[in-house]
Amino acid sequence: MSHSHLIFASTGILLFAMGFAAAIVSQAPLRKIIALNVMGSGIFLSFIALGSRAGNIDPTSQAMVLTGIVVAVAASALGLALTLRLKTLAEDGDE
Amino acid sequence: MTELLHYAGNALTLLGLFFYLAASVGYLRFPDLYTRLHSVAKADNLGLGLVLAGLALQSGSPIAALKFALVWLLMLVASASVAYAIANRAKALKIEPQQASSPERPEA
Amino acid sequence: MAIDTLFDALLAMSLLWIGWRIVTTQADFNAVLLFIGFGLLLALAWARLAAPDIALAEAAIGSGISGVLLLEAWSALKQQTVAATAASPLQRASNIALLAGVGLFAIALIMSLFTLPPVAITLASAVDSQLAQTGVSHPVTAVLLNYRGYDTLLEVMVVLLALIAIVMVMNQPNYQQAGVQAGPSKANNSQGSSVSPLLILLAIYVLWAGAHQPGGAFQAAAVLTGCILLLGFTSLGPTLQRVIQQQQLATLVGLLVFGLVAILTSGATPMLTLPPAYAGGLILLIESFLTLSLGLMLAGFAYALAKPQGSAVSKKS
Repeated sequence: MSHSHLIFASTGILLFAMGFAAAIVSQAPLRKIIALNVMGSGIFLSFIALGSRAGNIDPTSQAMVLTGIVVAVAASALGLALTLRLKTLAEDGDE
Repeated sequence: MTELLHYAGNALTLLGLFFYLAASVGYLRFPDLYTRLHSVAKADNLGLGLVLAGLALQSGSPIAALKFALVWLLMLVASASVAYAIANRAKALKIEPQQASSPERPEA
Repeated sequence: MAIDTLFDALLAMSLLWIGWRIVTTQADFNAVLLFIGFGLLLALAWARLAAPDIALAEAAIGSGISGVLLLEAWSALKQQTVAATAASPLQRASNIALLAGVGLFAIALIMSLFTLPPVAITLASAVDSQLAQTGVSHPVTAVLLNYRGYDTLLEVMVVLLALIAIVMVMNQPNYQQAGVQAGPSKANNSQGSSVSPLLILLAIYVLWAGAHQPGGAFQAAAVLTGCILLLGFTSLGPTLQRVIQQQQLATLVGLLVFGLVAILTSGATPMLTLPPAYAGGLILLIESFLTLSLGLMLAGFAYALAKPQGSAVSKKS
């Protein structure tokens, strides 16, 4: 395996680990959503780096990661909307 | 001729990187928001322009050079507008520029 | 060590450093901004891994649009003082156990990287063997819209479902003005008027170029969203916002056209098996409407999450 791909794959794994730990340990929902996005980016990075480790480019995995990025943004948007809604519900519930 | 273009491209790219470095150092060292904005805008205008000019020289095709020029144009507009928007908002939030008589750097 | 491996190592370290700062910084605003920068560095990493389509999508959608949504959410949440409760000893112990477990897991995975077979199993040869009949000459576009067209159809459906859910959750049935705090200035207007025609042209170019070079519908949709959001800051903004958010047909048309093509091509052959004679034209048709719809959907995310004027969010009298 070439050094570059090994480096990127390890980076992806470490980003996944950091994001996962932060998603559980963080208290604010906004930070959790950001951590989940970092997790996803780590997975994508490992995926592509390992898939092309001998120098052969795989268009199928690139298409899958492209789809994954768009779906991750959609899911983050829904998560953010739920967070905002929770905030307004908490405000109304306290009053 | 192409070798000359290649070296000229490298030189221009290095010069552009110097402007990026200067902008980053300026951002870290300048005392308040407005002066930091000023230095960061240099990265977008001059730094990117020089890097793109260097790449255009090395690209070997006039169409690619035109595309780089278009990228630079769009980035000029974007960076100017964003810098103006930030400064405008800062003024609306009553963030004052630091005057020469202020003794210490604010933490902003 | 070769110079490009050195560059990759520096890039990887920067990514890890920014990732670390994202999860450990105190202020939410810093985390959001660092995440935007993280996305841009990640786009560089994609370029280094010979994945230019992903680099374009990551910079535009993963960093740009995601950053817009996070900034809007941060702005709406910042009045909420999250009482950072001090962790009880049990919580602290479980946090430490979690961190240790995750660290061990990461180390074990990295060690397993060295035991992988030297060449990954790829479908590149399968993709290339039939590329001439797909109607496009760029492999990633062929996979997205021909070989795995069904996945793309479902992906657009997922984005639409997310938009519908967000609208329902945010409880703003008529999309009341959710606007910019300060009025548009001359600079905003001149930027909007000078750049938006160019951005529309750029979106069409990226869409068309996706057939034979990196590009395609998703990247073009992101450019279109940028154009719409840019115009939202001009004095045309509120009108444009109202008009666009009522264009439910325009938002749905991408999915409808895609679904129509899927229905028409089902029958004897599996759904979305594009006949080679018409594949190029069909892909361009699908991609054009997809660009329009996805652009409107992503802009819809940004509009739906924006803080409404006069804080209609709180129901207190």
